[in-house]
Amino acid sequence: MIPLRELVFLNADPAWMLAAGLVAIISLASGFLASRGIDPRKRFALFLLRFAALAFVLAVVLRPAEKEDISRAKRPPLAVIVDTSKSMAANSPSLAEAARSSPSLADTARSSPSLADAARGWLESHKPEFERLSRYYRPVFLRVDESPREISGPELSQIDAFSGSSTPLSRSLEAVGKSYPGLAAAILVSDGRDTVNPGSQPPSMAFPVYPVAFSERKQPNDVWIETVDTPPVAFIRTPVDIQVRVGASGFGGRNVTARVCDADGNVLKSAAARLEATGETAITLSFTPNRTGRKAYSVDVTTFPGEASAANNSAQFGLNVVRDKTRVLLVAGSPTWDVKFLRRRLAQDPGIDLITFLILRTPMDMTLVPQNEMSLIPFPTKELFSEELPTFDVVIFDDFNFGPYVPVQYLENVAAFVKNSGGGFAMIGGERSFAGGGYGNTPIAGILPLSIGPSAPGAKSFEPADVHAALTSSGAAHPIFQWIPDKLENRMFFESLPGMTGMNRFLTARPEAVVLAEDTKNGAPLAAVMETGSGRSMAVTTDSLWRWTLPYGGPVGGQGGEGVYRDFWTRAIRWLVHDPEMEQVKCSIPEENVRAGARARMECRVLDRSYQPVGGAKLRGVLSGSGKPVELRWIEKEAGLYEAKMPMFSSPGIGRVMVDVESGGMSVGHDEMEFTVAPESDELMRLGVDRKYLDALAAASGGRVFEAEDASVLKALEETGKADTEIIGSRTDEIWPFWRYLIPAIALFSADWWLRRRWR
Amino acid sequence: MAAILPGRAVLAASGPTRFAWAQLKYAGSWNPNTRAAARFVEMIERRTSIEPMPEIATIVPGSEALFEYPFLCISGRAVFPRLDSAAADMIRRYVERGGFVFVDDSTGIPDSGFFEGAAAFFGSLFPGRKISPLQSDHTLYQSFYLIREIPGRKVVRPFMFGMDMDDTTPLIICQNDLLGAFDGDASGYTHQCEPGGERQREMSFRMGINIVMYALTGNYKKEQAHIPFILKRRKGIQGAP
Repeated sequence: MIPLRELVFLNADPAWMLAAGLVAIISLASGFLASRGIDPRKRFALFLLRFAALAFVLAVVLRPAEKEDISRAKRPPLAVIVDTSKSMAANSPSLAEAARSSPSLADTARSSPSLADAARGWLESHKPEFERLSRYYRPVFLRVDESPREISGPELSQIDAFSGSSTPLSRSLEAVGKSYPGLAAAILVSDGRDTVNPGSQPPSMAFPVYPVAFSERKQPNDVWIETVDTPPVAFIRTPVDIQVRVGASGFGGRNVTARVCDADGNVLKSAAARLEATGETAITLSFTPNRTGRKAYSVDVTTFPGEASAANNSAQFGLNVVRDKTRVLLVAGSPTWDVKFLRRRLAQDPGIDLITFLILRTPMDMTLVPQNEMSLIPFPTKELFSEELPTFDVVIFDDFNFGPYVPVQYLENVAAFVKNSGGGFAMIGGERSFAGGGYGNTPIAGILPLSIGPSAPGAKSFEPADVHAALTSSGAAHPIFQWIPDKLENRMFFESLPGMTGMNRFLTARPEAVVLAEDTKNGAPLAAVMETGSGRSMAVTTDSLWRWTLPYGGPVGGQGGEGVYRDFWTRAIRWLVHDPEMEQVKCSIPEENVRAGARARMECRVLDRSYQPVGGAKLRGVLSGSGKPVELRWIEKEAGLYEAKMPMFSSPGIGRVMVDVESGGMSVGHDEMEFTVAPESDELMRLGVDRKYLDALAAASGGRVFEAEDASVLKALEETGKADTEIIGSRTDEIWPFWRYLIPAIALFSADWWLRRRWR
Repeated sequence: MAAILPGRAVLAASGPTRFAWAQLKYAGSWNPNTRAAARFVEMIERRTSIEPMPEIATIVPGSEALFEYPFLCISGRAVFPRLDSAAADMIRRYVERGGFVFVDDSTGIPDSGFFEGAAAFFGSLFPGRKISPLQSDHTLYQSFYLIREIPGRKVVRPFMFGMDMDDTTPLIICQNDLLGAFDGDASGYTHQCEPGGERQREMSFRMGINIVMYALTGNYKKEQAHIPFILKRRKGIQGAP
């Protein structure tokens, strides 16, 4: 509380004061006039005497008093925040523990005081200022590392454990703001290294933040990888650029080499650059992924002698490598509506690169027109089925009779493309497909999911009757036909689609095939799929799927019709090219990231060919990257979902898991993934003060960075605190009691009377 | 409602999943060249790998059967039919979903009422889309034959009209009475082709085949022009077309 005093009159009635004043003036004037004839010096003495007597009389009447206002400071909370993460302890004996895993830290640890030491010293030397500030503020002392924690004032300068393994600085400051409503300001002692959101802009705060700068301290000599910028996905066989941003302190002007390596440690690319003296040096590395999937890579930069840390000279990153575009070769025996709408659909898909060959004229058709008046070109069979075949991902034969155009040896190429090279193959129905196309004894028959049986004498291999199509149980759950997750609803939906006409006959499903849809009249397969070697194949035995895309109305009216047809073909193509999202065996890591020294799990979801969960499967998973390859031990968490605990990784790097799944003695599938193993802590990845971050943080909050020896900020806070008080009451005390004025008044009047009589 | 007109039974019917000539049967002169379509379908079957339905289908305006035939011909020698809003809306959806419309003006008169009516009808169905002459490099003129002159029973306009949608032209309008050049029976053709005579008739068949081929293959021929670049190192060419 702060008392403020002022003079007041207890008898301050204006009428009284006026009357008393008039009486005093009249008395003074009459006394002065009555003293005429007296020696002027004596006359002046009498005037003074009367004046003094009247003054006491006025005091008796007006009763002067002292009024005291009682005010109180509001004392809003004032946070003093100390970053107690490991990075603060760099270059100090307390770093010794961290230096064990990074021997290069040991030398510097011994050589100079750390930021933590400087912070301790600053807090100790400013105890008196904090004491003064406590009159106007309620000091809150906090240490922040993984999360903010309040500590007592005396503990502040005795913090010895700068051991936090992460610093979510921005998040912590926001949490402090929420925990202490009305926070007046925050004094922050930190290196400004936010390890959770490195490089991010600090958030704006509702309170000013005043970071303390220790500019006199020399930044540790170090080179580090600040960030590795990668695209969200990379495309197989297409160069991908990654940008490595290298930070440096004390090594400006030196040449540094950056390298990117695959999970096996093979150097994929290296590039050199001259280090900027301040700021970051960007180095672009371009390399070409040659396998799809979840891949992990490592990047390292040159380690110079004398660096504070070598641990931050390498980093790991993951990359999802996908196909750039799925290249589809569509060969059709005639321009039909089925071909028209299939071409239209595939051409509309930006992820598909479509090449079509249509037989517009057969050898049986009349040729009345000279070749130069026709736009027909020869069928480049050799290029397509020999030279360029490996560049395609999927081959589709749509109502195509190969006989007049493609030698059988090229069909062998197609079969090998599927079985050995992992390609996809689809045959779409029509009069020229399956038996009608003469495929019965060709290499194509070996990759089809349907066996081509002998036809009855005189019977047509393509029946132009209505098809009563229905999804099988497998088809209702298979991703190709899964418009609705619920199997029953999905089947009903399928049956509500526009009807189909025309179906190939004399076909039976092979044992290893999965029939997805059939004609309910006779159980003949309408759609079937099969894994064949390392590739996949699909058979559709009708040429009227196009009806789905040109419906009049019904449940697939409007955009729905287009959507049903689009979804079917999009999924079919994705399944044929082994889209990872459609694989039966799929591994994943539930944890956000894997860190050295921390436990992590591996999950594996296993589905059968019909995409139903597989219980009781036998999984064999080998983990490499953590030392010797180890076999994982799986437990079934729920039907089709298996989990294994991975051993701890002792150091950052790249892990790789390869899983093979069997069920009932049969292989279900295989998956593999690479993943990055992050350092146990990111604290020692960046050393020294990030002044840029601290400046931005102060600017965003309305505060400012101040030097450790600059006392102006603390003084300004004190002044602000002083000014920000509120009056809570007042007290009034008479200065003297009544008689203390009356006695001198009587004495002075008596003296005045006696002297007048004597001097007259 | 769809009806099937008698035609040449060359192939066994296999349902309308194959190409079929469908014609709009509206009140009025909807089929001025009564035997032309059947004769033309026969020509398609003879000259190309297309195996068309031999029967000619007729579609009554407003019939849902329209959606079973992705090719629709609207022909006339008088005025373009006035279709009610439901029938018009059906044609709009049909075209948007991949249907193809060929309008043949059989009047043989420049800017006839039939042509003006057709342009106004489709202009109102697809506001913002232009019906304009097709340039000489349009795929239509090279979808099977290389066409350099635009024929028909008469040569009213030396070009076709069309309306583009995305990268295709789902509406083609001919002012030259193309079907008039086909009309006839085994004893001969009904009309003379003017001024080019039988050469002009042959060109008309080629144009008709190109229209059907374009309806079925879209920009296939344009894409093929790029294939030599796509298939690098292309050397010898083998096999049939």
